[in-house]
Amino acid sequence: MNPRGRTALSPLPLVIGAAVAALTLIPFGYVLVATVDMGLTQLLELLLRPRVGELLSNTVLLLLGTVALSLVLGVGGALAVVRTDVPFPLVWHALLSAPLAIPAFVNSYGWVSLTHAVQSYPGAVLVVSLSYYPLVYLPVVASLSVLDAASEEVAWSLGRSRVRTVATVVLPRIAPAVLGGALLVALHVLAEFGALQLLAFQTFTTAIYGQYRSAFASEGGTVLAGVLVTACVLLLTLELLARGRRRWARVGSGTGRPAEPVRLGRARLPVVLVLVGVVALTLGVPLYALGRWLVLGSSTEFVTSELASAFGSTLGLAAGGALLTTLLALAPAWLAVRRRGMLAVLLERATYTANALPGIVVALALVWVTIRVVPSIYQTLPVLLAAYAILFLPRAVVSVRSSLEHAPVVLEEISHSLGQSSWNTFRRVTVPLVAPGLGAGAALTFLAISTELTATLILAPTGTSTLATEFWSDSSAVRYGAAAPYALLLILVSLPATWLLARQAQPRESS
Amino acid sequence: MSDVRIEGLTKSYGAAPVLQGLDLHVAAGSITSVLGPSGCGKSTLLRIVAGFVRPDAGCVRVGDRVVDDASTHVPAQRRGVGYVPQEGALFPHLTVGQNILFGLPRLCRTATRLDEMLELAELPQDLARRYPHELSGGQQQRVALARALAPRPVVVLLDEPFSSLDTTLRVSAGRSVARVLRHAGATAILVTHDQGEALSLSDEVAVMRAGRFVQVAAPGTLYNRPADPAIALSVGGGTLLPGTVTGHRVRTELGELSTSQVSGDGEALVLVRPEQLDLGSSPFHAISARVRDVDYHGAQIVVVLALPSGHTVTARGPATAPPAIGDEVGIRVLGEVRTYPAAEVS
Repeated sequence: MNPRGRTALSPLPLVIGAAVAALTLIPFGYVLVATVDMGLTQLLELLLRPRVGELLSNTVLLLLGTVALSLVLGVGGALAVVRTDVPFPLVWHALLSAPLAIPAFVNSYGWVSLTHAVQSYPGAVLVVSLSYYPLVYLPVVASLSVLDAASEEVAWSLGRSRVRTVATVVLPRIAPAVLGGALLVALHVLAEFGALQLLAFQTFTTAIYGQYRSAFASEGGTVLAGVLVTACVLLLTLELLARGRRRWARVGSGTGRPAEPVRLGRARLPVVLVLVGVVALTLGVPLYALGRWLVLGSSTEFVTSELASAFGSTLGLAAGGALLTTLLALAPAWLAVRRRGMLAVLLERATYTANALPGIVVALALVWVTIRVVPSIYQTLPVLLAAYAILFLPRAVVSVRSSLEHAPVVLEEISHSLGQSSWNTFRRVTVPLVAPGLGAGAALTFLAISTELTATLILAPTGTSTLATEFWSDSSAVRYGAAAPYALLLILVSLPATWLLARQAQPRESS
Repeated sequence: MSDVRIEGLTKSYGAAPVLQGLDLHVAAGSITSVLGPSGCGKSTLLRIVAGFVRPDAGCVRVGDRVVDDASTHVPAQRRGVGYVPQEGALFPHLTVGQNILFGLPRLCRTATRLDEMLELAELPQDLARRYPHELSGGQQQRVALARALAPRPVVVLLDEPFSSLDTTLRVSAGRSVARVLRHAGATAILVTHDQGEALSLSDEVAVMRAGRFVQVAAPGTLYNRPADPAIALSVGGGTLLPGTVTGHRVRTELGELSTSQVSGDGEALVLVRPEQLDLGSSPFHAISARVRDVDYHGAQIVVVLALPSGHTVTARGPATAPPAIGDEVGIRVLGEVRTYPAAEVS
């Protein structure tokens, strides 16, 4: 406390927060500096090539196709599960969320190992959409389940038909969820490397990787990375503009009542058949392929010691990365919750920019920076962990922030007024309230890191193999049988996070 | 048991003054309400006494100990001042029992003490194992009070403790909290924006407006002799009519009324409480008025009447034989009225 009466605000959190924000801004800095560095003529020369045009059209077409198909699958699935009397809605919800547990590159491996027909534009659209439509499905389910029936009932009572009610009352209210989901799908498609490489479909991301493999951190790769980042930022801006300033708040208090489910009647069987079909494609195909290769492969090319060492180093990297990421998230999240000033908001937002950064760009940026600034740490553990931190800080900050919000200042004040010292308050009030959220956030980061492929491929110290990189080297060398056990472990590792996400969006059981 | 003495308390946030020189004395063992609209600074006052916020100037004394002045600031954890915020703010990760015993040293956290506190707070024993979210709003409020009282604080502060409860619950919760406080013999400061709460629960009411106390008085005094027309209207309500004072008589549109106030002769505003207006048709009900509106409040009705001059007055009385809208009724004024110099409002 200072004599003026206000608590003297310690500058330490701001300093740490600024350092964290600076770390997350490295990739943007790399793209900017490296582009400016090469000068306009070289930039234009590298940019205005037929190759770039081809990649651009490939990427845009893939983007449009996957977003469209994901919207159909995601919104359709959500409406069927939440708003109709389809039997066993909770089972369908679990099955429709489950594809999240199969990393996109594992899914592609399943398809490619069964048929090469998917190594085409329609094939790429299909396989990638089957992996990513849950990113639309889950938020739409969540927003449909909290939608209050009252506004729909009012619309009916004002003479609107059911179809017009859905169009004029329901769709506008779930629009933010649909839009947000579509954006996530688009960002994931832009960043996707493994799946598209297996599907032999060239986009900016796969091209950047190819460029890196052949020419290392070259200008050509930098220009492509610049285009990719621009595309990501453009998407985020579009979404912000589309969302605008509209709010869909419920007026009044209390939780809403869910709407009466639509009776499908004769359409019930066809709807169930379509759902069965979707699940067969999303889960059936990759799991069948995996099972087949497990049976075929175990007799021939199965090395337990390699599997164990990859598993061990994956766990180690994921634990270290999750710990670092969560610790780094503490400062910006704390600032956002407890200080709430302009600067605090700015620092917190800075950490979210990584949302627009594909793993390949983060990896490339760190390669470029380490080689130029501290060549001695190139391809060492700290750099890989830093890449994980940049990539996964957005979600860590979100979960740390919400866990800090569980510990409002008033509870600490009460504890003080009950005679407890600051340390006792921290120990007896703050920690127990914040720990579960922190733990969950760290666990989610842990799981995300353990299936990360792109940045790990580029930045992992020589000789370090993880489940994802081992899977990658086997499957890209068409050793499908050898890749199968890694695929299985990757799916198992992804299950808990998927379960958590699916449960958060659980539709309410209709009474 | 200690009294609380506040002198010259000032506090501003940035350029906005919140408290502008408050003086207040809360007698040991008494309940004082701080009554005022939201934003008048009453919560800030409470947070200063609790030790969460430091005043810009002024002095706070609890018993004979100075806890805040220019050179002293005793932190909240060493004040022994209990605090019950809005909504109770129970620790969500602890059971009711753990919440109540939270402020006690480890060795004192005994079942006996818990039972004592549950009994004091009029809570059933089996509640101790429940978690806060399983309780009703009124129960949460009483657990919060028990938690604040358990370490035997010298003073308890209650910040709008009933504002989150619904109307019917507020009255009973308020009464039981007041009973618990009196039973514990605690000195209490209660912040509220509800005049009914302030009048019925406390020994003294301090009316606050824009960071200042405008009147500090016992409930009866406050109701019968409000210091200015604004207090009169916010505490108890009524109608202000123009009148002319001559000694202890006031001439108004409602006839010649009496006042025991000693004030100068001349133009004045006259406060007529709704329950002072009696409707009827006897020769005593000499003034006639037209019924504009009739509102039922259970056993009572509130009648809005238009006087020939166009002024409206509000009357409150039993709901037996209510008039109809448009009726012409006779009125008379019962008891004495208060007057205020006309210049004070305008």
